[in-house]
Amino acid sequence: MTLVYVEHQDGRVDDASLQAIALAREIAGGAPLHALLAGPGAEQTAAGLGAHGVATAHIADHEALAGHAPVALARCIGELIERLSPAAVAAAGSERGNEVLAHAAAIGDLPLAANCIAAEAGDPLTVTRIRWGGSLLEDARLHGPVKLLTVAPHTVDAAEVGGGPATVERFTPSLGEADLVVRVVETVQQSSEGGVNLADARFVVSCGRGAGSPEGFAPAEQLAALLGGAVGCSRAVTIAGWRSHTDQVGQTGTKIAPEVYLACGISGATQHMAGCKGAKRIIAVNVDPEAPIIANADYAVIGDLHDVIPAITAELREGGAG
Amino acid sequence: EGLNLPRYPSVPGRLRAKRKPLASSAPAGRAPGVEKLRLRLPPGQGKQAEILGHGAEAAPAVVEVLRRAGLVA
Repeated sequence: MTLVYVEHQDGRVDDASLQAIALAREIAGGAPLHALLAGPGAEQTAAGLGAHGVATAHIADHEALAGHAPVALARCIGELIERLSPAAVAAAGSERGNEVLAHAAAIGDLPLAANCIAAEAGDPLTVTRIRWGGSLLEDARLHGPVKLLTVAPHTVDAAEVGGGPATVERFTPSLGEADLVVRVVETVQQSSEGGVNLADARFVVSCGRGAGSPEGFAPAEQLAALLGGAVGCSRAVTIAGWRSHTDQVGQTGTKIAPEVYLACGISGATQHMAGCKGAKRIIAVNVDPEAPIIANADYAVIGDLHDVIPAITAELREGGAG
Repeated sequence: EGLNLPRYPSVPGRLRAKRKPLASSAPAGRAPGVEKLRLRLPPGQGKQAEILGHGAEAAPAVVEVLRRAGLVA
C-alpha cells in the first residue's frame, strides 16, 4: 500500500497534496491508498479524501501538532511506516512537504526523490524528477524497503475517482522534546486588501527591473485588479526593496500556475522561469527582443511595459471588462 | 598581505612532503538509494514566442489571448 502525507489549510486540502495523491495512486497500482493528516482541521478534510481514492485516513492526534512541526510530522510518518509497511510514501513537493519527507528519509535511512513529475509502479521504483530548477529532468530509480517521493506542484493532475468516504483512524504519536525544536508558534496573516493569492491566481502580471521603481508597478496593479488577478515580481525587484518577498515569483519565491502569466520587464533567468513554468500561457513584454524570456514564452510584445500595460488596461476597459 | 594570497610551499618543504606517508582508504560505500539513470532536457525547448506586436499597438492582440484563456468575459 502507499501512504500520502496530506497538507491542508482552513478545512481544505491543498491542491498540491491532491496532485500527490493522484501520482501515489499510479504507483500503488491498485493497492490501497492511505493518507496521513495532522493539525487542526484534519477531521473535516479526512473523510473527503475518499473521493480521490484514499481508503484510510490516519489523523495524528497530538497537542504539539497544532502548529507545523517538521520533525514531529516525520516521526508520525515513521510510526505509520513501522505499523503499516507501505511500499512508498508520497507528499506534495511544497516547501513543507519536502522538509517533512526529508526528515522522514533521514530518520528512517530511506531514499527520497523530491519534485517528481512522473513515476512507474514497480521495485525499484522509477521516477522522473525536476532538477536544476526545471532546466533538466532526471530519470532515477529508488532502491530501498520504503521509497519516499514528493510530487512537484502543478505537474500532475489531481483526479477524483468517486470513492466512498475514507475510513478515519486516529493515533497519538509518541513525540519527544527534540522533535519539537522546530515548530510554528505563531502565524501572522499578511493583510492583502482582498487581494488574490499569488499561488492560486488565474492571471498574474509581474514586473522585473524594467518597472524602474515601486511606482512603476501601478499599471500592473490596475491591470491585475481589473482581471481579478495577482501582481508578482522578479527577485531583482525584491532585492531592490520595491516589493515584498511574498510577491516574488521564482525558484526561491512562489511557484505559480495561472492561465496567463504576463511577464513585463523581466529578462527570464532560469530561476525565475522555474517559478512560472506551470503557467498555461506566458506573454513576455520586453524592450529587448533577445531577452531569454522570449525563448521561454508563448507570446511576446516588444515594447516598454510603461506603454504596453496601460494600453492593455485601456483596451480591456473599452471592451467593457471590469 | 591579502587573505586570498596563496601560501606557496618552499622547495625544502616540497622535498619533505615527498617522504611523508599518504594514508588512503576505500570507504565501505553503500548502494545509492536514488540511482540516477539519465539527465535529459525537458520537452518544449527551443520554441520561439509568437510576437504579438510592438509597443502599445499590441494591446488588442494581448486582450485576444486573455479572451481565449477565458479571463475576459
